[in-house]
Amino acid sequence: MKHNYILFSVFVLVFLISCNTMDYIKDDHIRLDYAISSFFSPDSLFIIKIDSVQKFFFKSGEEMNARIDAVVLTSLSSNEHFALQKIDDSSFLYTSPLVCLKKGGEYKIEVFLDSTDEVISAIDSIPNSEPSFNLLSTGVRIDRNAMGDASLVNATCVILLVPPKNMLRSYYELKVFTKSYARELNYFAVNEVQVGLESSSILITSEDYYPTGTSIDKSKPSSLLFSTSGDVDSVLIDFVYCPDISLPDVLSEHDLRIELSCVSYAYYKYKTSLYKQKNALRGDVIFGAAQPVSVYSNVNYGTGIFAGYTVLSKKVHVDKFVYYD
Amino acid sequence: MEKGCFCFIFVFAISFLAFSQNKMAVLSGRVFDQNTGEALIGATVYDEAGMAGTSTNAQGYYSLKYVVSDSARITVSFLGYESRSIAPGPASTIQNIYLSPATRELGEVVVTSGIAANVQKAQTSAFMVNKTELLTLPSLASEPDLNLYLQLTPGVSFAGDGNSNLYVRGGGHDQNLFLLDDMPLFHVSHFGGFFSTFNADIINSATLYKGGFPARHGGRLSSVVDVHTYDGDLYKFHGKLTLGLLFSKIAVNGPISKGKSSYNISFRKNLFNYLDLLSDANIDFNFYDANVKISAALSEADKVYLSFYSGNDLFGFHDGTDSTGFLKNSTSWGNLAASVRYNRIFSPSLFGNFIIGHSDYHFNEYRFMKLDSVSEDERVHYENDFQSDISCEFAKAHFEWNIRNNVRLFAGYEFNGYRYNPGNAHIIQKFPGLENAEGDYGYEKSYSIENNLFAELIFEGVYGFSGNIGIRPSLLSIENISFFSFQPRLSLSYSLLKNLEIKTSFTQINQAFHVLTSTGTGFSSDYRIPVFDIAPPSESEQFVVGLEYKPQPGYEITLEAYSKYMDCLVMKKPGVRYTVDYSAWEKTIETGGKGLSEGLELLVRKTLGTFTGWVGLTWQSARRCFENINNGNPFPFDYDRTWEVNCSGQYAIKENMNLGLNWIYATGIPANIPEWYYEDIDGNSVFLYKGYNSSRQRDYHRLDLSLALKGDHGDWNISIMNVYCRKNPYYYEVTICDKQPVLKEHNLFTIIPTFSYTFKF
Repeated sequence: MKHNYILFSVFVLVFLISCNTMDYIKDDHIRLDYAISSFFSPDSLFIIKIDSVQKFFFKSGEEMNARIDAVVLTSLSSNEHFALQKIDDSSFLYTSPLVCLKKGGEYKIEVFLDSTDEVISAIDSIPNSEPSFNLLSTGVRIDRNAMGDASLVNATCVILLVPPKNMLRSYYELKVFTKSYARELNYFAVNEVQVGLESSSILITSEDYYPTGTSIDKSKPSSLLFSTSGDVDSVLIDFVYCPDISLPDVLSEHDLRIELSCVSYAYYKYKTSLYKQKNALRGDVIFGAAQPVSVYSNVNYGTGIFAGYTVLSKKVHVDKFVYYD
Repeated sequence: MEKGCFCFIFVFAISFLAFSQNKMAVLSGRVFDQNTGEALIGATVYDEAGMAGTSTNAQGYYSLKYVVSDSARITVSFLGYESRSIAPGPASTIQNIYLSPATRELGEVVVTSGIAANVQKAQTSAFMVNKTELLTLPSLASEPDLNLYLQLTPGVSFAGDGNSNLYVRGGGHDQNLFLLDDMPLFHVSHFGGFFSTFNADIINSATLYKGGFPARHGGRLSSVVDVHTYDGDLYKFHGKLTLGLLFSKIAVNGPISKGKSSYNISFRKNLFNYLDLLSDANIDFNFYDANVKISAALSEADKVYLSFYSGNDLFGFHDGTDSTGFLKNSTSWGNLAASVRYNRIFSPSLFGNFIIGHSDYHFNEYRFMKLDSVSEDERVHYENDFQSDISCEFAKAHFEWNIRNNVRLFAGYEFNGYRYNPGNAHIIQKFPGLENAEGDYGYEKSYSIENNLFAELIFEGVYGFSGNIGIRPSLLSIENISFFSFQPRLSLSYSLLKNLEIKTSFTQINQAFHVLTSTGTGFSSDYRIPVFDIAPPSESEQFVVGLEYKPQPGYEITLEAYSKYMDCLVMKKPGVRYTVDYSAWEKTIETGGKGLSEGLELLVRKTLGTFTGWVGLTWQSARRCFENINNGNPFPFDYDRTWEVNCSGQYAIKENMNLGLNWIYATGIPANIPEWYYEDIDGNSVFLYKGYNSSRQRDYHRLDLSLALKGDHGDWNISIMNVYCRKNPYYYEVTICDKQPVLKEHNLFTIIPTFSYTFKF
């Protein structure tokens, strides 16, 4: 009997010795009190949003965030410091009229809190590259329903992008804004609106965030992000947009503003991961829930994005097109 | 060092045991059902005088050494059959034995187990399927299903509604080796996971190995499901027609040449598109299964089999007509397998089983849109035909050498030639205003060859120990790269007390390919990809220690603890489309993943009597770790259920009436629910997660009942799934509405009553 117990103990001992372990890496001490977000460019006023991060299911009695003592923007290139002020008490936006951003400049934002020595900070730079682009053509695309009837008239454009000559990868964002007119109201201009985009360019469709043709309930991304390698001479980008969905068989007369931004890597990573997260959040009864996507952040001791870009813009007037069946 | 030790032990054990044998006569052959000629798997063959016994293998083969004497008697018995005693001659012979089904009067209703006890004594972590329980298990389609049955066993994580995949001891559903009559099947789930590809009516025996894998099995990390089907009646024709809500099936079997050869054919298919009836959309839905088996005895010692399986699923939507414009989206997948098997009793002590065959799995996503009834420049044509396949040519030669009654050697060779099409798309794109495009895009097709040798030495009652020592050297070659693995196996058991055994096992096993699978819920979208330099074969090491107690015949209690470590795992990068970049795997997959699962399993099972069934309790912790996911920290595996309780029972109310019940409780599976959110300067809501799989779904529980009625002309099967209408979670959706977070839980099934009627002819 004693022999049996010894054997039993040996079996158990061998098993316990064989057990493996997995080591946890200690997380950096990350505060998630505040999220900062700013996309800055030399062509516009520097504004940063500093908002508290909300708990998804907030329970009453949970402690509130530390108070913001100061927000400072530093130009690392010129070693200038700018103290930022709230635009107004009710907003979360901070700015300073003294800030003058420059192409190629590297900037650091620091948010000082009252109850801790930890400083929320981020660093990014404005791209210095000089791409150029031309609008090659515009046209119409008629989407049809299953019965063959025109269900929507879309506008199409093709642009030729000439990336800067260097051996580095460049990152871009393409945005399109339309301003429509109503003739009966004597050229009364409505507000400029940003429109969702589709593209068939492989440079864009091969990006992770761009929805596949088989995606159920796909929605057009509000901007198209892509990158080019340094050895590319030129690339053609096509895109499709719908200026006014209320007139499905009419392409209304409108002004088109194409904004091609040369963006930093952080900008590109943030926006593409944000689009991926939006796609992943949409569950459906067949595919269920997708794997979660973490949105990129370049902020230390906090979360959010602080990213630079430069803008190239082109405007064109597009005439009315009426589809006659 | 580890490999050297194993070689030494193995060679020493063979030498010792081979030289210590005595000269005796050998009786060998196959055991058959007298009425049908069906091989009986797990029948006991016992030498009364020598007090030694053996059991038949999956081909009904036995080999028993006995002491030659006038009083020698060999008794052959099998549950539900009359035992037969024969007097063996003085010389070694091959003799097939036929048993008659028991015809005793039933004073009380007795349910025989039908469990084939052909699993070795030292085997750990094996679960033999009770066919009676399987055939009366409550199920969604009033159709017993092997995978849904196995999901209820301890150590197999319950997959949830609409999912018939098996997640064994923290392993993925891609890590299971499904063998149908020795043919590997790659994917065994039908649409929605309502049922698997195994037609329960034709299953003769099925065994699930969760650990302690014998060396004859390899190629997948987590489990082996070894299924053998009936050969068909050698003397009489039988037919069955089942009409059910989800599908109907027909099965016929009978003799080709009476007493010598037989066929067994079954086919099941949905007769109508019930999904289309339930929805306003034009849904395409179709599935079928076909099994064909032909067997022929060439002589007393030789038998040949032809096996064929084909199954396919199609699910999609369509709209419009050719004249007006047509839109179609569909997904289809299926298996095709065929083999020729020959087995021969070379000598009373040596049995050989040889098989060659082909098995493939295809997955297709098709999107089609066209409009021709307009002017030339307005025509639309879009076609995206995506295909991902794997196929395998296989050959196996297995030998079983009966060295002594308590010592056997299994050895053999296996060849697998895999062909991979990881993913290829043919795209045609013609839109007004856009440049026409047509082309093929895809990953490179590739080939790999796997050569495996295996040897296992099985012994019983040697110094009180029973065991299985094995090795499975394997060489996997793909292009210019080769991966060698030794894969030692060891199972040992020792009797602590009468009816109480302590068992332990160690298994090292490799997987020949990777599977990229969507972690969505329920839908099939698996892509099989080859191993290559940055993603070498996945490996697993598993230790098991357990106790097995059999207080009396028909009762068993097992308690097992296991620790399983997996390395070189691969998964799809979160948020990355599989078709993102056909040229660089690095952009699509995460490699070098590790997995660790540990668990404790208790099974209390009753296999004989009017009431049969089991209660299972499982505790487990299954983790994965990838360098670029969750900041490199371990995270719970997608189907990690900490606690699981399974109760499954069957009660024979009358001779022709059985009541089935199962109840399951399981901790909710991990879910990804954001912990925080913020709104950026552009007004986008950004969700932040505490970690990967850091939350859990609500707990799952459900009660199912079934009633099986056997009539003179046919059988009824009535099932009620989820009797108390529990709304179990399927998946969660998060949104921001009016700047407030909203978490919406989606459910799949509440109460589902179904029935089927089987007409016998």
